[in-house]
Amino acid sequence: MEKIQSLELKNISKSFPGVKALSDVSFSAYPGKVCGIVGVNGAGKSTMMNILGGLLQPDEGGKILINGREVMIENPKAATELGIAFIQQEIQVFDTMHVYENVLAADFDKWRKGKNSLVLDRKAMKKEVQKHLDALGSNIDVDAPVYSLTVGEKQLLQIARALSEGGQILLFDEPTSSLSDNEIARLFEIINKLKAQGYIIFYISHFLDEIFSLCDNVIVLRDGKKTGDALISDIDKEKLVGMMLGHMVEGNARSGVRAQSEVVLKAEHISGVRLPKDISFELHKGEILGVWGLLGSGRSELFNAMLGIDKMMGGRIYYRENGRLEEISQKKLYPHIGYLTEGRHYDGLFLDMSIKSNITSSDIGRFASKFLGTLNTKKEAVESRSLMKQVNVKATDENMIVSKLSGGNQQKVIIAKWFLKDPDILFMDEPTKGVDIGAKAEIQNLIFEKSEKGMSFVIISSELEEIMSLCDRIIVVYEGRLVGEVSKADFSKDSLMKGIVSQEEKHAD
Amino acid sequence: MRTKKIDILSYSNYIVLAIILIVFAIGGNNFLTLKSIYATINNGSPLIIITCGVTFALLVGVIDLSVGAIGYAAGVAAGLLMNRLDMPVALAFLCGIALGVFIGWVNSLFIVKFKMNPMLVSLGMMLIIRAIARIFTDDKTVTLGDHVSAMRKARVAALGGMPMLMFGLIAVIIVCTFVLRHTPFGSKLLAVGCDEKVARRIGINTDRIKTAALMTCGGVCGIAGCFWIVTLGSVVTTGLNSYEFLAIAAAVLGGTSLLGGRGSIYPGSVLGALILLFISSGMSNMGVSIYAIPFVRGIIIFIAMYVDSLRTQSMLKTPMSTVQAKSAPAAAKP
Ligand SMILES: Nc1ncnc2c1ncn2[C@@H]1O[C@H](COP(=O)(O)OP(=O)(O)OP(=O)(O)O)[C@@H](O)[C@H]1O
Ligand SMILES: [Mg+2]
Repeated sequence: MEKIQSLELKNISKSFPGVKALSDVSFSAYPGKVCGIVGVNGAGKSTMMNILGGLLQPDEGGKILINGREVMIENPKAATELGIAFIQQEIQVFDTMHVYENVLAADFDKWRKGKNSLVLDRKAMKKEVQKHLDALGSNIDVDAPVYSLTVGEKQLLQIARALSEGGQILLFDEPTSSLSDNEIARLFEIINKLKAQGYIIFYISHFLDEIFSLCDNVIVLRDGKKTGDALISDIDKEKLVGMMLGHMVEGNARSGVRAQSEVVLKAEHISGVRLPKDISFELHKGEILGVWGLLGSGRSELFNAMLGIDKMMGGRIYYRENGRLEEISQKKLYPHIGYLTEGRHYDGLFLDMSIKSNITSSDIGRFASKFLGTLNTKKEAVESRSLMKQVNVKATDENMIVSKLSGGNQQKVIIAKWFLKDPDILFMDEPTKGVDIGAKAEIQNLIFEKSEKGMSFVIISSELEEIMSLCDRIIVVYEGRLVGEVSKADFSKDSLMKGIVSQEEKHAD
Repeated sequence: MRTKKIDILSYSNYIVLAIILIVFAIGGNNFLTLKSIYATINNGSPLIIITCGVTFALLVGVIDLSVGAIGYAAGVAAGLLMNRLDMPVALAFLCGIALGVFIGWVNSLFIVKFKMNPMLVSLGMMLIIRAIARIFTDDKTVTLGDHVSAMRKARVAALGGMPMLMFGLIAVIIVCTFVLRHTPFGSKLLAVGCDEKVARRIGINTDRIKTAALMTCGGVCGIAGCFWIVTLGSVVTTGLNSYEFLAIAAAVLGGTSLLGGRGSIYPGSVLGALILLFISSGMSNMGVSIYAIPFVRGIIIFIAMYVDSLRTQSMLKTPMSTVQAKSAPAAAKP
C-alpha cells in the first residue's frame, strides 16, 4: 500500500428519508495530524465516518480523494484496502468467539498457513494479536472468550483490530465513552504515537477537554453543515461551544445544601456472586446519590445484584412505604423503581421499534383502557412527543425507528423512557454516555427538577465533573467494597480518590 | 472454582452418553458387545452425517428443515442412476452429492438473496423434494442388489468385524470437524452466526458465507443419502422421514445454538446424534415398546436443553475477573 499523503472530502452530502444528515461538507486531512470532529447529537459526525468507513454511500455529487485521486468506498472491505480503519461508536464484537479471532475477524483468509493452505495458523494469529495488545499496553488474554471482557476491554480490542488491519487513516468515533481514566491516558499515548508515525487520525468526542489536549485542528458540524474548521491553537472552548450549539450553555448548579429528609431506601450488606461485597447505604427522599469507582470496581454489579438482574448472594433491602421503612423483596420493589442500564444496544432499547414504543414501554399499563386493556396510541404519541422535547431528541417524529437515531439520541430515548415511568427511585448507570454538552445540561436540570419533587436518584458515572455537579453525596466503591463516602461540601477529586488510594496502599504492603 | 464448573457442563454429553451405555449394559441383554455397537453406529450413520450437515446451517442461524429430504433426494437420485442407467457406483454417488449441493444453493437463493424466512423456505423445499422423488420412483422401492452389497458387507476382521462403511463415516466427521475448526471458512461461519450485523460491518461478505454454509449443509446431507442407501441396500419411499427434527435435536443436544454462532461438529453434534441413537437401540434391545422410544428421546432433549441453558447463563452473565480493577487512574498517584 502506498503512503497516504492527503485525504480530501469534497461536497459530501447524505440524505436519509426525511433527514439531511450531511450537506455539502468539505475538508481535508493530512498525515501526522489529529483532526477532531465535534457537534451535538445528530449533527452528522458518525454519518461522516460511516461514509469514510464504507458503511454508507454519499449522495451523488460528492467526492473523496486520496493522494489527489478519486476513490470509491463501496463497502468496509474497500475501506480497509484503502487503508481506512474505523473504530465504531457502538462496540462491534463477536461475544462467543475468542479475543484473537475477534481482532482478526475482518480477514481470516490472510491467516492461512500458506498461500495454498486451507488451515488457519492460529499460533501466528495469537502472536500477531498479542503484539498489538502489547503495543496498547493491555494485558487482555488473547485466548479469553470475548463475553468475559468488560466494555472497556472490548473497546481496546476494537482498536487492536484497527491497528492489525494496517490502516493509515484511523477513525475514532467516541472511543473514550466507556474507558477508564487509565485507559484513556493510554489511548492518548497511543494516538500520539500513531500521529508521530504519520497516521491520519479523526477523533470524535463530546468531551471538549479531550479535543483540546489531543487534536491539531477541529471541524464543527451542526445539522449536517460544517459550521467551523479551525486550528486548535486559534480557538478556545467557548468559541467551540458557540460553533457547535449556536448559543452558550448555561452552567447549572443545585442551590445550596439540602436539608436531610427521610430515608426511602436502605440497602444492607449487598453481596453478589463475585462483586459487590457487603455494601450498605441509605438513600434519602429527593436525594441524588452518586456511586463512583473505577471501571470494573463493581458499580454496575451492585445495581444488578441489588435489583435482581444478577443473583444477590446476601443482603437486605428496605423500602419506605406508608411511612414505614420495611424489608422488601426485589420483585415488590420493581414497581417503585427504574433502572437505566449501561449497554444501550443490548439491554437498554428495543432497537427495531419506534421511539414512541420505546419510551412508553416502561409504563405501558398507563396507556391501556381500564376495561379491555386496549392502548390509547394517541395519548402515547402525545406523551412521548413531550418527553422527546424535554430531553431534546433529534428525530423526524416519534414513529422513527430507534436504530436510525444517532448514538446520543438513542441514549436520550432511554432517559425519556424512565422519566415517563416517573418512579420513586431511579437507578442510572452512565446516563449521559455519548450525550452532547448542551443536552447534558438540560438532562441535569431535569434531574434536579425531579428530585425537588421528591424523586430519588442513584447514579453511576465515570465522569468526575458530572458526578460532582449532579450529586448530593457520593459513595466510593473499590473492588466491590464500599471504601468511602463524601458529602457535597467535601467534593474534590482527591477526597473521592482517598478511599481508593488507601486500599491500593494496603495492597502494596 | 468457576472454570471447573464450566468444564463439567461442557463434558456433560460424554457423561450422558456414558450413563446411557451403562444403563443399557446393565438392563439389556448383550448390549455392550462390539457387534451391537457397530451395528447401531453403522445403521445410524445417515443420522450422524445429517446432524453434521445441519450443524453448518444452524451455525449461521438457519434452521434448515429440508436436510432429511435432501439426503432422501440424493439417495433416490444415486439409486435410480445405478438401477436404471447402470451407472458406476462412485459416479452415481457424486451425482447424488452434487444434487445435495444444488438444493442447498437453491435454499440459499431464497433465504439469502430474497431474504425469505429460512424455516418456511426449507419446509417448502422438503415437501417439494419428497413429492418429486416419489414421482421418479413411482412410489415403489428401488432395490440396488449387487451395486452396493459388497460395500455393505465388507468388514474388518482385525477390528472385531467393524463395517468398512464406518471408515467413511469417520472420514466425513473428520473432514467436517476440520473445516469448522481449522479453516478460515469455519471461523467466518461462526462470526456470521454470532452477529451478522457486526460481521457485515467489519467487512465479512455475510451473504457469501451463508450461501456457502447452506451448500455445505446440502452436500453433507447428500453424502448422508449415499450412506443411507448403502446401509439399507434399497431405496424405500419413506426413507429418512422426520430426520430433520432428529438431526436438529441431536445438534442442539450437542451444544449447538439455534441462534447460531456456537457449536461444534465433534464432539458436539456427533455425540448428540450418538446419544439419540443409543437410546433407541438400547431400548429396543431391552424390549421396550417402540412407542416409548420417542417419548424418552423427548425427555432427553428437555434435559439437554436445560443443561444448555445453564451453560449459557454461566457463560454470559458474570464477566470473569478483569484486570482493570487493579489499576488506579494515573493522575491519582502521588
Ligand atoms: N439509517 C438512517 N436512517 C435515517 N436517518 C438516519 C440514519 N442514520 C442516521 N440518521 C440520521 O442522521 C442524523 C445524523 O446522525 P449521526 O449518527 O451522524 O449523528 P452524530 O453526529 O454521530 O450524533 P451522536 O453524537 O449522537 O453520535 C441524525 O439525525 C440521524 O437520526
Ligand atoms: Mg455518532
